[in-house]
Amino acid sequence: MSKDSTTTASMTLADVAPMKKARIRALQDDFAPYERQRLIDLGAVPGTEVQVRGAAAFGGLRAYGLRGAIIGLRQQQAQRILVEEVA
Amino acid sequence: MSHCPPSACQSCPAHQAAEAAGFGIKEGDWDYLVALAGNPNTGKSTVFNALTGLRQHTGNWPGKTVSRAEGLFRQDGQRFKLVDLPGAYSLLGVSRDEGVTADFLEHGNADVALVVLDATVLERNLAFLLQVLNRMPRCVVALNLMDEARARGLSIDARGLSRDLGVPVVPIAARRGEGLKSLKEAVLEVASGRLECHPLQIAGEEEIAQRYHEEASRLAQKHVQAVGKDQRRWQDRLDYWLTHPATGFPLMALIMAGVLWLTIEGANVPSGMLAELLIDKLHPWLQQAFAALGSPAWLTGVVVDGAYLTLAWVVSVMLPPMAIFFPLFTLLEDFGYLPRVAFNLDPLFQRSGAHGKQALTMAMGYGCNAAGVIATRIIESPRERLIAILTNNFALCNGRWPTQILIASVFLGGLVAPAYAGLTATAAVFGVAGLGVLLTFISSWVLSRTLLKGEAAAFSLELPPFRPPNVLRTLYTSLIDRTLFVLWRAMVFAAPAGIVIWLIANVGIEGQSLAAWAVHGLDPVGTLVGLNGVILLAYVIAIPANEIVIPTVLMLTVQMTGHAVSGYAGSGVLFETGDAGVLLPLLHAGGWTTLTAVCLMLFSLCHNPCSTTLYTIYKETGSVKWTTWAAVMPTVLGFMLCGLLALGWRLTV
Repeated sequence: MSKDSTTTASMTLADVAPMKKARIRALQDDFAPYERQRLIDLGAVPGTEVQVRGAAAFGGLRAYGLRGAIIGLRQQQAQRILVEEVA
Repeated sequence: MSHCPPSACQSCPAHQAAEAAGFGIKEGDWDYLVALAGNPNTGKSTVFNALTGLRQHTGNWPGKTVSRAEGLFRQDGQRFKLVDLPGAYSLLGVSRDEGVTADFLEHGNADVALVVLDATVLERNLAFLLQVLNRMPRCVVALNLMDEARARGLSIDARGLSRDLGVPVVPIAARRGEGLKSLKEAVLEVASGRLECHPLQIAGEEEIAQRYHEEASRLAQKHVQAVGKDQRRWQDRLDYWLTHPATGFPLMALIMAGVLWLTIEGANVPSGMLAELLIDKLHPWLQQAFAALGSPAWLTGVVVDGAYLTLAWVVSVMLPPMAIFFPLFTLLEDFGYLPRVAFNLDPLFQRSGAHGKQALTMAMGYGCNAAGVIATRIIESPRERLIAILTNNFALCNGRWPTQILIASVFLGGLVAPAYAGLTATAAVFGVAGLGVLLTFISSWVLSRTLLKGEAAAFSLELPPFRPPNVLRTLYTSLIDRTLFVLWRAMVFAAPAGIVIWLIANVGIEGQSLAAWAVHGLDPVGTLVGLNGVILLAYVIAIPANEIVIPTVLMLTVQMTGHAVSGYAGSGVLFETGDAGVLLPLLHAGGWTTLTAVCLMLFSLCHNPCSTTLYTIYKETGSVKWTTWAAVMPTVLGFMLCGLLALGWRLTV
């Protein structure tokens, strides 16, 4: 397995730089059921484009543009949302 | 169940009434039942208020800690019962709120579902609507916030959308009352069956959520077009600064301090005028009138010196700061600033093992802790919800702001040159409120490592678009809903408290009044923690409502010292810091020092919640144990803080 493909395969929403866009590939399996459902309800389903907006101080929430709305997520959640980069 | 054809039983009116009754909807003076549903932050309650006006009723869903409101409206002689369902992101969701909404749409036997969509976040909102259409074919869509969509240069083809969805779509701007008539007409058309709906159905079981979102995305792309200039770009810039790591916190502090400063500076003059009128003029006049009518001394005492004087203190001390603070707070709330506060504060809550939405319930607590405790319903995880409930008391409620403001103005403002009095008082109150925030974090942190161990649950926080509030309407509703409501509550508790105070001050054992017995008994403890017996007794009498602490303190001091409060003709400026004022000489006569004032401000922050809040905590948790904790924890902390401060003060000053 080349280094490149590992990076791509394991890229999460938390890795995406501010103002960049990414497309959701999947939600990892270790989400609590209600947490996964809420993210899905907010439109974080595979294929969805997400834009990273601002981040709060002290490593807090980051704001994401998701289906026309702005949603704040903690890093521990963003780390479990697998994405691919969008040019 | 919803897929079965309706049996004769199900369509029988008797069955419907029984079914609806299961949801606490009483059969009665209405022809059609309308369920109001929508995503959170879509202006659903604005639509509800605009349709029903004052004909509404609020309460809980039967057996559930989920709030609900219902009201009535008319159209063409038909009467509609409108039930406001909890805001929901989805009908597949697992939250309490979403469960109630899904359940009612499926089994509530509503004649029509009225679904409110935010035209500026149409894509996400449409996904919810598609789910409703799958369960409830008779739908009317209210495309709300069209004024905002226009300001963003968006053009939305409501007709095309209606054609594709198979149900009526009515563009409205509920804040301005636009489109409400057409909306009511559409509801009647669908309810009466004159208009048949053929709602778009999304089939399948696999990946159903994804299909809803894909279809919503397709519809939004097809019917929403950017045609004009986006006049809301400033919102993005404002959001950037308000949530920026470097500027978010300073701006938050500045806004909070600004609100406090306006309240303190603004409340001074009207408070003085009210005190002059009610205490200097009306009180002696009432005494004379009672005497002239031949009232016995005890009756004059109970009614005029007890009930009336306490009421007069409550009105003159409470009304002006509340009438400034509440509308300002409501403006910030309606504008959409509070979710930004939650966004900024989340890392601190996260490290305290608490839920980020605790910032929102804390903010609500600044209005009223009972309301803050009810607001913790937005926190799904039971552990974090309990933390939010137990620590809500550290958010200074409106009943305590006037205490802080008054004591800071009179004592601490008097320590500096008059020009800086307002700023000094603001800084002091800001400091106490800030200490409250700090104590919230510390106590949350301790709770989440001792009594309420566990990991911080993940959560998502929507930052809804800013909504320039309708200032006049906000002023009006916050005056009616909050200021007058709270003032009324204070007055209801103040009058009996005044009678109690007069009685204990004038009924005696062995030549000493009951109040004197209590005050002297409490004095040693009070002095130890920098307070005094009068203050401690006042906190016992004022358990029903924090609003009456200061009036009770003043009444007791008057009774204990015999210091006259009336007859300071023309000089009754309540917040005046010099000897010309009413309060400072009175409190000095009661033996107060700067230490007493500072300790009172601390104790006002850290003591048991009022009985209304305690009862609310009991109802929300169903637990005597947690209610007791909620009362004991802050009180013990308050005694410790005040005791330490008094010790340090006496050793150094």
